[in-house]
Amino acid sequence: MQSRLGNRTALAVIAALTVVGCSTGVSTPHATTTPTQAGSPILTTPGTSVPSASAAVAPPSGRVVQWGDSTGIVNNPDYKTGVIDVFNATNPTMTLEDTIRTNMDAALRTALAAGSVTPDVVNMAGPTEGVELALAGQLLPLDKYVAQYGWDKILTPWSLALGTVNGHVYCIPNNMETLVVYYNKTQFDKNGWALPKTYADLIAVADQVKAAGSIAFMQGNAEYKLADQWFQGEWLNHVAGPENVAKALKGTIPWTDPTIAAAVTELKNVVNGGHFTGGLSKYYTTTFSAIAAAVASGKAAMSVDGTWDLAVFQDAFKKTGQELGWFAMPDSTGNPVLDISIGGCDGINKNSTNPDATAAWENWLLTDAGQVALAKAQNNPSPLATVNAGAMALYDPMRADILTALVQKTATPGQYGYTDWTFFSPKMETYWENHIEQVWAGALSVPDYLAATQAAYEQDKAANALMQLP
Amino acid sequence: MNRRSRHLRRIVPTLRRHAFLVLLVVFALGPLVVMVFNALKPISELGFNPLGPPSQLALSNIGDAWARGKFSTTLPNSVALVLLTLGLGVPIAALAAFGLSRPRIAGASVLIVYLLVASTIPLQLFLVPLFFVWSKLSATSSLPGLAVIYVAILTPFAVFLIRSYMVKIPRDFEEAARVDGAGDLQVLWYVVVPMAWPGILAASLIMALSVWQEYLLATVFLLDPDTFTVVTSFYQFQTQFSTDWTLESAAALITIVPVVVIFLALQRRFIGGLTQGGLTST
Amino acid sequence: MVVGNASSFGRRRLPSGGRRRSESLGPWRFVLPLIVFQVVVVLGPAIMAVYYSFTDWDGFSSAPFVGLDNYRQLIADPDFQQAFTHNAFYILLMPIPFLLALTAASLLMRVGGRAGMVYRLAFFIPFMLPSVVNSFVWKLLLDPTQGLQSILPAIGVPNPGLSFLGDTSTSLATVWFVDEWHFWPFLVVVLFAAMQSIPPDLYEAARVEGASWWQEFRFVTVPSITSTLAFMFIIACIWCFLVFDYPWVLTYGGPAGSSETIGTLVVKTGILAGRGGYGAAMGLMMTLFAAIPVGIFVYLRRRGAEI
Repeated sequence: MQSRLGNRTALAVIAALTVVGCSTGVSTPHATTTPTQAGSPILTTPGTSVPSASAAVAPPSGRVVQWGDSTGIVNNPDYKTGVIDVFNATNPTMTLEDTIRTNMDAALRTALAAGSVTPDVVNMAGPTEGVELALAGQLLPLDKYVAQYGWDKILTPWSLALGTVNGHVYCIPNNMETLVVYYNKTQFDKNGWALPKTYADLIAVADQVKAAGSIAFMQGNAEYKLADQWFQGEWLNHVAGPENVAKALKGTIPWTDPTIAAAVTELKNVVNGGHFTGGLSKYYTTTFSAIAAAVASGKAAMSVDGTWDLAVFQDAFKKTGQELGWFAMPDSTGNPVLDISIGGCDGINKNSTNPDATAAWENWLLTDAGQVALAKAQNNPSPLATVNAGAMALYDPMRADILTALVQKTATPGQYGYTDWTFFSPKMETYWENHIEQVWAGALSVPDYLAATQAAYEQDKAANALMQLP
Repeated sequence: MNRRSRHLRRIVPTLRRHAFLVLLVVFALGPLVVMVFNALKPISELGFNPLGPPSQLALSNIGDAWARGKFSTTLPNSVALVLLTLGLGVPIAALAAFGLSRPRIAGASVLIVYLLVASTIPLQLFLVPLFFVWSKLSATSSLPGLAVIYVAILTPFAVFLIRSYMVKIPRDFEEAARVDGAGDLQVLWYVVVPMAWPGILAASLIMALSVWQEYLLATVFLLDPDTFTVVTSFYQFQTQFSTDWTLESAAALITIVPVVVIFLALQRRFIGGLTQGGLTST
Repeated sequence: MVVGNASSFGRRRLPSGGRRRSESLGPWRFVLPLIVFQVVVVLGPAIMAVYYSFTDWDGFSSAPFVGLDNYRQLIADPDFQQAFTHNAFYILLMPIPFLLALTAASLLMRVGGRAGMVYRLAFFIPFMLPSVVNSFVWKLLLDPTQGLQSILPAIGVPNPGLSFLGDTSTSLATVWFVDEWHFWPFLVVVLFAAMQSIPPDLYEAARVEGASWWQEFRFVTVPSITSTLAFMFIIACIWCFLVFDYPWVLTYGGPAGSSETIGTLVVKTGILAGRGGYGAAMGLMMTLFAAIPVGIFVYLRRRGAEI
């Protein structure tokens, strides 16, 4: 999951309507995407690639400055020794300098807005933020590097498409994640609860859990207020179904469509009905460690959460000795859907003094060496066209399982869902996430909420800020 | 009335006074006892025992917090920043407060209104323009550069605070001094400042604390890790979604020490009432 | 020459410099350094902020002019209206920390030097700690299952499990409480400093007349510190419009915006949502609201109040 701070921007972003001035009146056709291809990715090393008009012959050199978020996954000693130092050692002509910044959001935006030449690498919280900054003219188009390094073959087409605006690639997606339902296998077995096959089954299980005196879904947003979106996304995709979500994202059906409304209402009922943490007001003050402890001890049966929290659950289960399991939340028709999350996107500062070296660094991260180094430093894998088996083997087995399942599902439409911080367009996303609590509190009606969401969607559409779907 | 009952008559109100003050201390510090407990707990215990005293003391938390928070760099930086800001800001504020406390300047009202209004504009709106200029002047990642911004932002309030003390000083003192031939500066230095001293100290204390705790500008303008301040130290214990509260509490304990020192330094030498001699009202 | 006895200044011969120079420049000398700093640092960005509020600035470069649109939208924005009522809540309850601080400061005046210092230091510690730390402590204490309420069963009362920060009806009051818990000692310091300069003979005179504690307080203490009191009250009211730290860290303005303030909304809209122009307009609305206490201040000065 992208960093807490970055997530806010990713989700709360509003692509500048102002940039309408930059775009043409005719919307450029979205790049056509094909399902992921089997076969080994073409890895090119710097300097030996297909020459483009301005490709340098000598390997890139010089200093590349990157700013890491102090609350992000990059702020751990393994990242420094395992990724940065390794890169610097194996690429002696270049030096990557990484500064850990506090309040990265404000620092980055201020620097970019003031035309600063550092940082060279712009680490963003996800493709949505990439779109925002690209439309605001802060990022360098990466097309020549895509051609040079073959990123369109290395990465899945749909992921690279996410970083594309008006036909140009502006940022490279990374940190592939998803959400699942973690559950206490020991309790399930003991009580004879069956793993649900459809969404209706899931609610039936939840009722059984409640009847047995436990909490069905242990959730909380005390430590991360935007966790609301995890559930918004899960319920939207799994109750309305991925096809309908895709239609709404493409504009084929409006956001006020009955299927969407039903999904939002369903979540509202679940949240208020006592299945969530034993009460909505408790949801707002429950921390992640409390969640994990509750599921691990059997006080709660399930928790909807992401791969980013797996370690927390595992720690808790180690303490209580009970068994942790996971399953993909099934949708209404019985498909075990996994929602795609892209937790980061890297771009190049348009004022960077060394874009070639910066691109080389980004490319290195996609190579074997890079992916293995990232895996060792607990960073998520990038959405590669072919899963890097060596790197995958370094992850915790359960996490590797989940991620492998996700990759398989991305090959088939209808098997995967769309998290809102990855696929929703900026203005719509802001409204969607900022007003859901009012819906849950009953202060805003579902039809009004969705009508306003639709209005925001249309503003994004007019500004050419829609995200491209696989 | 015998001595005993007179004595008692004094004790009861004194006891009442202290009782109330002690109650206020409990109100102020009681909740923080939890923080102290948590600073000394191992992290594994925090989830199970959030409020109570630690079952095993983890004094290593303090050392860990010191190291991970890089306090050896950030503490001196923050202290330097405070001294720079006070050294520049307090004289400027005191001078301006004096100038505005005597009804002799035309247009003083305009300035006062401007100062009040300027202090209400949220800092976020200043970020981009200031950063742009500062980076052109190569003043980013510079503690003196940041201190200049702090002086500009904090002096308006200090001016008002100090001025409100200066305004109360009876004119007779000043008149007497002028009769003796004192000019403005001497009146300020020898008459007004000593009498407004408690106010000046209070303003200094508030300025010092504002600098110490300032987050937005310190994180945006200081790009070089060698210049980072204490605020950044507090964010070294957070991961994406959760925080190691035992280390965070330990870090808070570490920072209390210098702040207490600042407080004592700026609160001790107050002068109560008027200075030697009285004023013969004529 | 009449030698006034005032202060140690009296007997020394002074250099004869310091005659009254030209009236117009003289007093402005004192204010000049302040003005220089303001112009260099504050004025430029302040003017730009005003300019941006009339545009649809995206926070980076593009800023098409939209006139009063932002302001029109703001006034009609239900989120903004809701946040405003929350700021008003803060202002309405302002007297409470003031009363507490006044009482504490006047008690401290009567307590000995050392003990007084210890008390003041003790009160002041919450104000010295960063808001993240204070908020963490209170979040723990207020937790429905593991907080202070969990101690109740030990005295025979069942744990009501109230979620003060998670319930939309109590979140604002709770945030206000924690904020004021950390803020009131600041008032103590300021008011105590003001009380320090009250001439002891005034108290002597009152005591001679047999005044009670309350009468002393009402007729000596309070009137002597009116300038500081008035100023602090106005500044505190202005600050009520700027409230940010505690709502942000304790509840992020939630749940469902029930503890949102204009300050938190400005950050959410202006920075996080990339609506720089709208955020600037919102920030300046804060300034406009704050102008009301400022106006009162100026009016009182015009009427001759010495503040």
